[in-house]
This record gives sequence, structure tokens and C-alpha cells, in this order.
Amino acid sequence: MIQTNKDRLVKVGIEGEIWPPGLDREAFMLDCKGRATVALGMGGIVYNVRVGDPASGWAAVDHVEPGVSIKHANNQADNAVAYMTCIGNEVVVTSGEAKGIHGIITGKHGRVMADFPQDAVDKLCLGDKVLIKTYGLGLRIEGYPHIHVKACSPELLEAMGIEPGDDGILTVPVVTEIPEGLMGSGQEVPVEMVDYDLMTADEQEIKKLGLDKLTLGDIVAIHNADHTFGRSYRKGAITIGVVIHGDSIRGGHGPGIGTILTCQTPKIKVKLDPQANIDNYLKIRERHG
Amino acid sequence: MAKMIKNNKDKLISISVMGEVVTAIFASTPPGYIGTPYLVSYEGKPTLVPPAGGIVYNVRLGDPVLGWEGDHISPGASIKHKDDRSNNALNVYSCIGNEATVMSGEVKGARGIVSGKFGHGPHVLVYFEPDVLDKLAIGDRVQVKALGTGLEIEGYDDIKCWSLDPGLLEKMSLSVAEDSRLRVPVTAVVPGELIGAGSGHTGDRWDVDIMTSDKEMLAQHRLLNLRFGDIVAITDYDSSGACFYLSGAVTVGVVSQGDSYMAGHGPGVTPIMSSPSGKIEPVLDPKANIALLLDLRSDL
Repeated sequence: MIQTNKDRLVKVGIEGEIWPPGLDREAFMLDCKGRATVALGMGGIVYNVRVGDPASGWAAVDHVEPGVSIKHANNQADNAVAYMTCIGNEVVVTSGEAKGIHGIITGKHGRVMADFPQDAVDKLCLGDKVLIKTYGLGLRIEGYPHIHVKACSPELLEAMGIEPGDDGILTVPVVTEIPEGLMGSGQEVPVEMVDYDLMTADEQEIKKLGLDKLTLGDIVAIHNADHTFGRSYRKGAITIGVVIHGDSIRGGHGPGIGTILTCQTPKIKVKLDPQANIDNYLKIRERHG
Repeated sequence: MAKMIKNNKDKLISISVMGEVVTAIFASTPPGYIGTPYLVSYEGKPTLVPPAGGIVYNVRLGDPVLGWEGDHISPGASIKHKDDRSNNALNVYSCIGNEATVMSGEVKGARGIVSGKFGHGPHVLVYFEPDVLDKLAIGDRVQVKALGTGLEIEGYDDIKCWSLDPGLLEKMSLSVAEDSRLRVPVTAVVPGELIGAGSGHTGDRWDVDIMTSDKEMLAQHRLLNLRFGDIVAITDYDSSGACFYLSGAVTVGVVSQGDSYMAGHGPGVTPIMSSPSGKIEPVLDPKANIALLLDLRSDL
């Protein structure tokens, strides 16, 4: 069992609200074959796509954010939402008809996403205030200073079945492995804040690697990806991430991988496990129906 | 006998677009910055160096890209229009090789050449001779005779041209391979897996970055001696619509903007041609640099 510094972390409640989808006046976007298309998926309450559902295969889809999208209207307060929230954190509705209902953070994509009990989803209203109990910023694994933890709650980290080994090696169960060359949009954005996208335009390559079968919440490995201080290319580096949003028709975009662990050297070993998904680890759908 | 390569330049529309010479700014919001002018490098080191923008006097087309104490530096002058829609027109319609003229200030009437485009603005880069740069002021207006939007190469429906002046196209020494692919002289071939920032954007108005964090990988692909203005190929990479990884696709672009300390960033390549189905065959030629092709530097 890995040991962490979780008893030294500060748990802070911060505010967000359920954020509506938005579109430009010209709603067309180009798909990867250059065709003009109107697509959707970002913001709002997504009623029929949740963590545990397929990441790909949806029609007219643009970065579908599973469950409920949350953001703060004030930029600085929203930066707090974006940086302090960790996957696995608890969230509570604090206004409206669903006041008092608890949910779980499942990813960060500019907005942060949460899953709520299914019998409460119909009571949620765009604009409802929520309180996120942020916990995880500063999280470290004792004895493994070369492995950095990003945007991951202690609950998720401890539930992932990570096996400590000799020579500073950790073994992490993952659903699949992805080459860095397939990673696109988001390469340049802060790791602690937002994911980056698996490019799915090359359908043959994606099928060959089985990456058309990803499930929202899957834990995956990305090779030659160093996310210690931003996302840079480094041979031998390895990053572990969570599939936090779904596919997009747009070229250079696709299912989002949110970083949770990264190492500049091959000191993270992976073990293939089809059950490596945050839904299983945090029992999200089991708890939420 | 070599086959003539024709294009549709006599059908293209030449139109005026304008920008103003912009100053350098230290923004506190772009990714990688920490609320101060310091940026955090991919090694985790706080770094304070000149950013993009401003008039860059001592780094010119044809000079090495790597090794400068700067981040995303923009050789020559960078221009932008204050109005977003006019700026989009400036950035989409301007093509590398287009003529630019200073319309105000002390060097009114001086001529330059569009040499690239880069993001976070976006901006157009203009090459001026050193004596013009010396007298150029921030805020001077520069008008571009934009020409190249809609450029097609006859017989190559699959090749999309962006940001490419037909005059430059005709100087690129293109030829036709036995398998009918278009042979394009380039100074280097960049593997698509090294492309970072820019993926997911459209190919029409800015650049894609070669990540330079792994120096061994750069050495292996002979990318350590890249120069500003080099025409390079990017393999397994499509930029004919949006920019993304695609097995077999080939993008050709011009090295426009300087290296970066930030993760996911590096020298910016402005796409000028792309074939999703790989109808472009890159051919190595150390002279494939726009400073040479457009006779901008006789000292190289």
C-alpha cells in the first residue's frame, strides 16, 4: 500500500454553479474531413452520458462532458475551481430544489464535471450553486518524489490498486496505453487545470490500438509524455490519466485525458486491467443509481 | 522532360489587409505564466526572457532558431489589427511571400515581405531590411497586398495550400515524382509526434509548434540546426482543415517563430501545404529557406 501526505493537505470548500452550454452565432465547426457541422456536448446537464459510458460513438458530439458541468462566473474564483478541484472530490448542491444533494467530481475541462444521484438529476437547474470540497492539491506519494500527482483526490489515488516496488517503481493498473504522438489539443495548457485530447481523426490507427473502445472514467497510460511542468515530449517519460470527456468531431480533438500521475523516467510500470476506471474505484454509479 | 507544374494564380484575388507594428507584452494569463513575467520552463525553472512581439533587430530570417535567450521570439516586425475581425482577415488572407508596405511614420513607403504567422493574437510576421527596422516605430501601419487564398496546384486536388504566395510556390523548385507525388524541397523532416501546441486549431492563420524538450529526439531527426524561414515537412500530420495526427499525411510549413522554454511549445511552423493522403514527397535540400528563395539575404 502506498503512503501519502494526505493528513497534511488542506481541504477547502469553494463555490461554483451549474454552467449552461454556449454557442457562437455561427454554430458551424469543421470536422476532421473539413465538413461544416453543428455539434454539442460541452456545458449544461448531460442527461444520457455519464462516467462509465462509452467515450466515443456519439453523434454530432463535441467534447461531451459527462454529467453536470460546473464553473464560477468570476474569472479568479473560476481559476480556484479549475486548479483546486481534484477527481474524486465531493460536491454539494447549495441552492435550488436539489439543495443538499451530494455528487462526485469526475474530471476537469475548463469547467469541472460531476456525477449526481440519478433520482436528483431532474431537480437540477442551470445556475444552481454548488460547493466543492476541494482536497488533493499538494498530494504526494511518500518515498516517490520523482512521481508527481496532479488533480487527484487521496480517495482515488488510494483506490487505484497502485503497487509500490523497489528502485522507486510504482505499478499502476490501466485499461490501455497511448503513444504521445496521438495526443493533440491541450498540449500547451496547464496540466493541473485541464486535460488534453486524444486525436481520433486517424480512425484506422485508433481502431488498431483499440482506442475507439474507451470508457469515460478509464485510467490510461501515455508513453513519452512528461507532465511534470506542463506537457512536454520526453522519451521514456510516462503519464497516467483519466478519460474525463468524450470524443469530438473536430480535427485535433477527441476524448480528453486528465493527468493524475506523471514521471520523467520509466519508473511507472503499467499493468493492463479492464476494470481500471474511476467509476469502479469510487463506486460512482453504484452509489448514484 | 520535367513536367510543368501549373497553378491557378491568374484566378486569385489580391486584396489589401492591414496591421500595426505591435510591442512586446508580458501577459500574466497565458499558460505557463505564473502571474509574473516569469514563465515556468518544462524543467520547472522560473525563466525571464523576451517574449513574442516588438521589433526584433538582431535575429533575422535565415538565422538559427535554437539557442536564443527568448521565448517564441518573432524576427523582424509583428503586426496585428486592433479590431478582431479585421485581424482575422489580416491573418487568414496574408500569405508568406506577399508584399507589405509601411503606410505611416518615418519609413512610410518602405517595402517588406510577409514571412510567417503565429498564434495568441494571431499575428503576421513581416521581414524588413535592417535599415528599415531601425527606423520603424511601434504603431506604424503596415499594409499587405494579400494574395494566395484559394491557391491550387493543378492535378493535386488533395493538396491544400494555405498562407502561400503563388510567387513563392513557383520558386520552391517543385517537381513530380515517378509515382506522381509532388516533390517538395525541405531542409528537414519533423515527425508528427513532436508537434505540440497548435493541434486542434485550423491550418489557415497561425502555426504549430515543434516540441524541443527532448534534445536527443531533435538530434536524431536532424532538427538542431533549423533556421528561421526554413521550409520543413511534418510527417503523419494533416493541416488541410484543422491540424492533427494522421498516418501518411504530410504537411509542409515555414519556420516562423522562435523556440520556447514552455512545455508543449517550441519553434512555430506556419503550414503552407498539406496532403491528407500523402501526395507530397519531401526532398532534403539545405537551400529550402524563404530568405534564399525570395532573395532576402545575399550574405547567407
